[in-house]
Amino acid sequence: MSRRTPGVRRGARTGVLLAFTGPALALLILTRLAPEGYSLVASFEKVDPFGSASWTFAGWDNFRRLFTSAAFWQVLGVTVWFVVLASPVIVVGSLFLAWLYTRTMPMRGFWRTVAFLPSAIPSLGLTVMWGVALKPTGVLNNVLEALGLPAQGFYSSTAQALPTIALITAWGGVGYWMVFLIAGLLDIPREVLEAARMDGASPWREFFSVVVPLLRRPLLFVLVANTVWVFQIYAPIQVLTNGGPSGATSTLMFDTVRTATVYSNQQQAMAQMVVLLVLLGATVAAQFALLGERE
Amino acid sequence: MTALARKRARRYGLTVLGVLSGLVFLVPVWWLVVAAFRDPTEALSSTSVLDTLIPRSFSFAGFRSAIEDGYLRAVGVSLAAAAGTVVGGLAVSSLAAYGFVAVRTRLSRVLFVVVVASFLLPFETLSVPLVPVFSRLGLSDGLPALILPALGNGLAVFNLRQAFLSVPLELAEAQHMDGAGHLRRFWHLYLPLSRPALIGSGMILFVSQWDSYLWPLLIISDNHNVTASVAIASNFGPLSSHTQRAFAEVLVLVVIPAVLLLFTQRRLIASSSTSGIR
Repeated sequence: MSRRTPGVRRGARTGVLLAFTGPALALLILTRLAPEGYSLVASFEKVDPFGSASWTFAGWDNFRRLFTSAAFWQVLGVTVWFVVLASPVIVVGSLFLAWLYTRTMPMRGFWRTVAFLPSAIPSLGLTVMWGVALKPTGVLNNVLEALGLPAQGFYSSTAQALPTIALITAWGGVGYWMVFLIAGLLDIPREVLEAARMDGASPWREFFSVVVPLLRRPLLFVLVANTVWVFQIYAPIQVLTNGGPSGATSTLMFDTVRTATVYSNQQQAMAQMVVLLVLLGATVAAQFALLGERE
Repeated sequence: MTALARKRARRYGLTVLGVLSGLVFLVPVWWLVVAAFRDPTEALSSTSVLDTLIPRSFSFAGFRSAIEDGYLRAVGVSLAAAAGTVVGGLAVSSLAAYGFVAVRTRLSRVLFVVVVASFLLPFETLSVPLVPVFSRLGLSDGLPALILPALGNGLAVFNLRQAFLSVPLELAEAQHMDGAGHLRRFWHLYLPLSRPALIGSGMILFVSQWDSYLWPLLIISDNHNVTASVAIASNFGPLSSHTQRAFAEVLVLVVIPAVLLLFTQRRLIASSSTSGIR
């Protein structure tokens, strides 16, 4: 009697599955799929000049307008340059910190915590503290002048603004990514390192020929995850430079928000967002293709 | 140089390197704390660089000015949003995780990948199109608008599923024999045995809400309902002179999660030592 046919059982199981995952799936649709769908549709629409506030199909018009505008090419250039500046600094910096703080030294745990400290500061906090420290009359310029060096413009100079934002981002992020790499370093079997040392490998050789290859997975994770994060940096740009000076820090993320809110051009903003998502996806795919394991 | 001396020299060099690298992170944070408590009049008169790192005066002026400006209300909004995100997010992700563990069909595996992957995808970018979606649903300007997008968290679902997978199947089967349904097994067996994962996922959810800036900025238009980050930004310009207040506000923003972390860490250690399960 208690024997049920597999079909019924499968139906009941699917019911249980859907009942428990239901809230998560509903949220997925509401907060992820709905905006994705909206942006995809809106990017191919325009405001109907004859109807009141209704939209009509515009084909590739929004995208064509983007890619024929010099301003948008500047935004794309700034975005790529920003990722190229910030992402490698973060990966190399966090790898250096992870390596350093897995050596034997006094108070190692304390210094690890210290390096992680900036990760506990919300992005707006980082923006405020570095905004004050790096302003033209700020502490850092005072230090430079005390050392007899010329004061720098930092984020108020066209040439230095983007690198400054990248450095603020890196300072706030390296300690966080370091944690993942420390975990990866501790997973490397001692015997492997001892064998390398027995063979007379120098510390440099040991690091680049043994440690880095064995750290490939966590390194790839840190590279991909922090690239995704860097593409979406918003707070320091909006608060400190507002995209300037003369567009020097206007990244795609920042410009998309500005098009949607300041210029209230939803359709154009959505087209920009689609470009941002495609660029992000392509970058991540390229990272996987170049550095992922080939089996 | 003997091998021993060389080894000692290397260790000495590493320690120096470690301390110097640590100072890169410690000094700015120290400066933030000192500056938040500095007397505003002293800040103007001091000219020496070292003065900026040595606390010579102590004042709550920055904090007082922040409170007078209604900063506590903004902190309250942030705390309420974070609390809602933790409670709601844990409910949603632990239920989903139980579903993925209790039912192991192909559909379940596919749904697991879809849920984790799409909640790991960047949300910041999606916040721009989410504004019209939410306002069409009448969800703008309130706690639900702040909380809902943060509830789905791929890392939390992933963590909790890992924890649930390590719950012995024999225990679940024994409860099943006793006539316990899925909900009772979920509540009385899986949740109590997964406290560390619940606390860890709770912290991830808390931080994701606490750190958010763009979404609250876009969705909240009523000045009384802004979060702490948005409140700080609205009063802060890079050239503004209210440094003390801005720093005091940032310090509050940093200290609250740190205190909660210390508190939950102690609970975490206590819970794993009393349950006997690691």
